[in-house]
Amino acid sequence: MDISERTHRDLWILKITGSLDAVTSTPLEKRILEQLDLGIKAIAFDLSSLAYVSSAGIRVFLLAAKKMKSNNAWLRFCGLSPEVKQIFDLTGLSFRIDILPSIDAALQQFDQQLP
Amino acid sequence: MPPPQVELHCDPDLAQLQRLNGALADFANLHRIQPDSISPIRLALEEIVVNILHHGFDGDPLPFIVRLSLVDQDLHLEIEDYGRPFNPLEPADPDTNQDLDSRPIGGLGVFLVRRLMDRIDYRRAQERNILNITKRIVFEA
Repeated sequence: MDISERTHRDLWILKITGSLDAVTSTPLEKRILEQLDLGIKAIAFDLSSLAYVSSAGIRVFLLAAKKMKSNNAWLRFCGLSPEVKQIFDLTGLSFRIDILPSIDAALQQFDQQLP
Repeated sequence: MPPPQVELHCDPDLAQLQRLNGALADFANLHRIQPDSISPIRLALEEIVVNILHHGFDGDPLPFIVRLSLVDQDLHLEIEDYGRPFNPLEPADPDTNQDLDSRPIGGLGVFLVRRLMDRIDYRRAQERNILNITKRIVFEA
């Protein structure tokens, strides 16, 4: 599992490649919590290269979604494959977050936010 | 469970997940099973193994055994462990409709196993949990 990061103004974009399982979810959770502690106000997850997610990965995303929501912060999940979307759906995560087809769609939405 | 074609004795360590994934992938290749068929099985196996390691023991966990068998179009998986009695069919489904604010984080693993697999059989025998799961697969064209 690889994490690559970039920023677009004050949006933090996190691209996750490979598999998020019980082992690889730990470094992801650590990185996200670090950013949350710094008061990050906008996150976009680029999941277009995420091939596999288990409940461990879902838990990390659920935690991020809960904390971002309680901070009134901006959060998008982008580029889910059908297999990953199925797991998001089964666990109910889909219905509580915003899912977009691509990271470009997220950038567009982000830029269109009213000040 | 039909006679196993593969039997893996695993140290009680999450690092075994990688080995198990590799074994599943090899099994799929050998029998020309579509990779898409393997993904939910890989997930179910991970959730079961994680449960064994995280919840099965008060002290040090003990090794576990995974067996694979393909019969016609069904992949059979058997997981045998020495942990405390645990039947994955018993826990209630988590409430996936709950708001984020009131959602507890746990309970998802065995729920996914129940939703993704075709058949789950559990028995307890001689201090062991023996779990059999079955999933229909699709062969490569």
